[in-house]
Amino acid sequence: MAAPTSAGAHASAKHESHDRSYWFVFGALAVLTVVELSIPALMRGMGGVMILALLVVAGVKAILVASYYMHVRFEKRLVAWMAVSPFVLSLILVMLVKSDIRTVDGGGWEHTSQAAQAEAPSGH
Amino acid sequence: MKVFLTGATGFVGSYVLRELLSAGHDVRVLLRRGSESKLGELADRVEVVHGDITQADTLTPGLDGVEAVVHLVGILREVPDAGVTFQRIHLEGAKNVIDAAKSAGVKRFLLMSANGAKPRADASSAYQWTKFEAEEHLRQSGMDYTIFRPSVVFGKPSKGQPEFVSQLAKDMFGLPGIIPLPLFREGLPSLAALVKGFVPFARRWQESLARDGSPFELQPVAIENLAEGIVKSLAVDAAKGKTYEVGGKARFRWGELLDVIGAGLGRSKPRWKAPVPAFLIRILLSIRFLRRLLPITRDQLDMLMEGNVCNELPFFRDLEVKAIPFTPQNIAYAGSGAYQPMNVSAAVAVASSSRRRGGKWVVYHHPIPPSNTGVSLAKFGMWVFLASEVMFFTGLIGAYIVVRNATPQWPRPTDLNLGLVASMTFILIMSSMTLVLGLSGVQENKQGKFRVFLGLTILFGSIFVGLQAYEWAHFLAHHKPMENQFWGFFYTLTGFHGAHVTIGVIMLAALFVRALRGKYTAARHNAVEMVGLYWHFVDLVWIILFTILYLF
Repeated sequence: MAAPTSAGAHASAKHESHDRSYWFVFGALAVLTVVELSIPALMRGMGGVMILALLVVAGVKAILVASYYMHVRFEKRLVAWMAVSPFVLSLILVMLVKSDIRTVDGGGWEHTSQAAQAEAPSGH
Repeated sequence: MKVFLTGATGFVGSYVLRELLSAGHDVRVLLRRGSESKLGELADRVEVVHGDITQADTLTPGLDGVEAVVHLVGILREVPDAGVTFQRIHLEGAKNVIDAAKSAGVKRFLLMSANGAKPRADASSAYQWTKFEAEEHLRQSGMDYTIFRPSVVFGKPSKGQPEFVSQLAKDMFGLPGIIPLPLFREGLPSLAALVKGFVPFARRWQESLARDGSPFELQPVAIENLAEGIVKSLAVDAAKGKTYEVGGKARFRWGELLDVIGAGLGRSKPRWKAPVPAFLIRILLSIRFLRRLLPITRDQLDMLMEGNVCNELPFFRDLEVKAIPFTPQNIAYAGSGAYQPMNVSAAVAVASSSRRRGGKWVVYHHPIPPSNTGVSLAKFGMWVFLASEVMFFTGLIGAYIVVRNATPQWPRPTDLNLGLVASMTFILIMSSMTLVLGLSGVQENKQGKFRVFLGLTILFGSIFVGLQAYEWAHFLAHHKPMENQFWGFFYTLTGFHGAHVTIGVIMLAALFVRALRGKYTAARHNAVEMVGLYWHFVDLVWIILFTILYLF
C-alpha cells in the first residue's frame, strides 16, 4: 500500500496531475457521508427541512464525483450539457407525473398503502 | 513503346503504370468515365481513353497505333446482383480486349492471370477457370503473349485497394486478442493440435502449431517485383509465349505467415492460434446473412486451402528481377492504420453503374472522421450512453418519488442496517478514487501505479457486490419484494444498481487482464477512461440511492 501512495504523491508534484484534488474529493465525500448519516438523527421531526438537507448533501457529493472523477470540470462545456440535460428532462417528467397523481384524489394509493399497513405494521 | 493499359487504377495497375512511365513508355490507359481522379498525380503523364472492357465496341478507338497491351483488370469477389462476375470480367472482358487488340494489329499482349488458374474440370472456383480460359483465348490469338500468374501479392496499397496483408491485418489482427487466429485445415484437427491450440501460453506448442496447424503454404511476392517483371517483359524476347508463375522466394505456412504479419504490425509476441476445421467455416458461409459479414468468400477459402505456391525461378531469371523478401519490415505499411481495406466495393468499382442500382449491398469503409465537437468520438458516445443511463435510473427513482409522495404513510422499515450501508458507500467512494488514481497512473505511463490502483478498484467493487448480496440474502429472508411499496422499490433500485456494479467489475477485470499484458500506455488508454466514466457514474447513482432509500 505504501508504494502506490508515494507514487501518487510524487506524481501530483509533477506537471498537470490532478491526484491531489482526487484525494481531496475523496476526503470531502467521506466527510459528507458522515454528515448525511448524522442528519436524520440530528434533524428528526423536522420533516421537509431534513429531506432538503439530505438532498443538498447528496447533490453536492454527486456534483463532486461528476466534476472531478468524471472530469466534467476539465472537459469541454458540451460534456457538462450532456451530463445535465437528462436530469432536467427527467425532472420535468417526475414533476408532471407527481402533480398528476396528486390531483387525482390520491390516485388510489391510499387504499393500497393502508392495506399494506394492515398486513405488515412495521414503519412509522 | 506505345502501351495500352487496363486496370491502371487497381492495386497492381498503379504500380505497373508507375513502372511503365519510369521505363520511358508512352502509356494510354483505359478508364471508365469518372475514374480519372484515381490516377492521382500520374493523370498528367498519361493519355486517357474512356471505355469498358465489358463493352467490346468501346475498346477499338483506344487501340489505334498501340504496340503492346497490358491487361490487368480483375476482381477478387463477385457481386452478382450488379452483374460483376468472374465470367463477365475475367473471361468475357479479357476476350473483348484480346479480340480488339488483335483486330487493331497489336503485336504484343501481356495478360494478368492468377496462380492456380486451371481448366474448368479441375478448378475449385470460377476465379480459377475464368482466368484459365482467358489465357487459352490469348494463346490462340496469334499475338506474342506473356502471361503472369502471381501468387498472393503484397505491397503498400493506395486507399481502397484490396491487398492481402492489409486485409489480413484488419480481418485477423483486428479481432480482440482473446480470440485465437484460425488455422484452417481440412477434416478434424488431431487431439494434440486441439490441446496445443487451447494452451495459448505454451510458446513452443504455439510455434509448432504455426508450422503444422494449417498444412497449406503461400508464396507472397512483392508488388514491386511483379510490376518490374511485367514491364521488363515488354523488351525481353525470351518472355514471348511464356506463362510465368510469380511468387516470392520463400514459402510460408499459413500460421507462419500470420506471425510475420503480426511482427509487421509491431506485435512483440505471436498471436494465439488454434486449429479450425474448414468445414465449420463452410457451414457458416452457407448461411446467407453471415456470408456478407465474414471477410472471406467460399471461393477464397477453397483457394486458400489449396495453397498458393509455384515455381518462381523462370520469372526472376528471365526478367532479371531482384526479389524483395516477405519480412515484417517490408509489410510494416499494414500497421499504419491509414488504410481501410475493402472487399465488396473493390469489385463494385469495376462496374461503375452498379453503385446506384444495387446500393443496398455496397459496403464502403471510410476512415473514421475526426470529431468536430472537441470531444473525442468515444467519449461523446460514452456520454450519450450515460445520458440514457441517467434517464433509466431517474425513471426508476422518479417512480419511487411519485409513489412515495402519493403514499400517505410510507412503510419505512426499522430493520435497515445503516452501518452496513454506510460502509458499502464508503467502499464505493474509495473505489472511485482508486480508479481515477489508476487512470492518472496510466496517463503518466506509470504501469505499476496503474495496475495497483486498478486492482484495488476491482477489490473494492467486488466487496461492494459481496456486501450487497449479503444484505439481500438477509432481507429476503424477512421481506418479500411484494410486501409493500418500500420493499418493491428497494429490491428494484438496489437490484438494478447492483447489476450495474457487477458489470462494472467484469469490465474492470477485463481491463486488468489487458493492463497486465501491457496493452495500455500514456498514448493509448481510451478503454480505461471509458470504463472509468461508467464506474464513476455507477458510484454517483449509489450516492443518490443511498440517500433516498436508506436515510429518508
